[in-house]
Amino acid sequence: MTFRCYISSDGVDQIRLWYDAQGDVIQAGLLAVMETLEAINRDKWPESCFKELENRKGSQCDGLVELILKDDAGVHYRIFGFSGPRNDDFTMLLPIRKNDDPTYKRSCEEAQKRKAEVIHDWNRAREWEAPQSD
Amino acid sequence: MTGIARESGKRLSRTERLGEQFKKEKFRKSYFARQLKVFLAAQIRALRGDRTQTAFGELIGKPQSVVARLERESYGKVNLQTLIDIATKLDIALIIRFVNFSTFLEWTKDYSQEALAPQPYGGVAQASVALPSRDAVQREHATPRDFPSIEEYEATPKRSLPKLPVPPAEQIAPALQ
Repeated sequence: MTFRCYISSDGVDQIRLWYDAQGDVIQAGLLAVMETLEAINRDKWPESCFKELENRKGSQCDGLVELILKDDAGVHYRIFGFSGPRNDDFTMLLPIRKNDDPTYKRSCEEAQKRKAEVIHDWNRAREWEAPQSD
Repeated sequence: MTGIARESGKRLSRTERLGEQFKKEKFRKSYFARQLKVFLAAQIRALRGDRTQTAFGELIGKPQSVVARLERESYGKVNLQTLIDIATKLDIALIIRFVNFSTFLEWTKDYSQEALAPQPYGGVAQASVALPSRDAVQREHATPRDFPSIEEYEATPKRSLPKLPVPPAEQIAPALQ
């Protein structure tokens, strides 16, 4: 499994941009999760690291997956993504702070838009590289 | 970029990279706790394989709800006896010990399938146990008795060939002609 990051039209790695702005707890947690999930087939990922999303009333979540993170203050974060564009890829599309971000309810819509961009142009998903800096 | 990476221009290994990041207390404590939980959940999921949670529960002698909890790493309240019971039923071993962070990094770098779902005793694992490693063989045979100390060596009487009488020159000369 290869983790990839969504690249916006201006060439910015939106996942890395978000990651670099997070505190140590979220950064460490995401690294630990990715290292483990990278080694496992997608169908054998352990529950609660992720959640398969499905269409619910008024949402557009079908085909999306969310990675689940929580910091030491109990604040929940989600990273929306999908399996693709290549076999054995998982592309992270949209990170969000779940508890109090007003755009959370529209995050499936935004993630689907990004997913379509990645499927249309695979260069819009760059392989994740573990940070070399502090 | 860290000092090491900046100077050499090469990418750091996992151990080097995390070793740098572990200088931050909050990072190392968060990383180790999450890695421990998520890897354990992944191991339970890998050991279950294609079985249902109910079928796997029957195999390890636990109800399906326990299997579901163990695969949910956020649950976080794993009973040590439950883990020992699972290892016993699956005929694999379990290691739980406190270690320093260097050892932690070394031990957690293996994400292979064998590390995730180890073979039970009786298969490949038994062959590994039956065939000692080269190091083990060397340790076993390279005892002090095989290699005496310098004092013991010096004290050993020197052996030399017995001195034979040298024949007179006139007896040697004809033989050389």
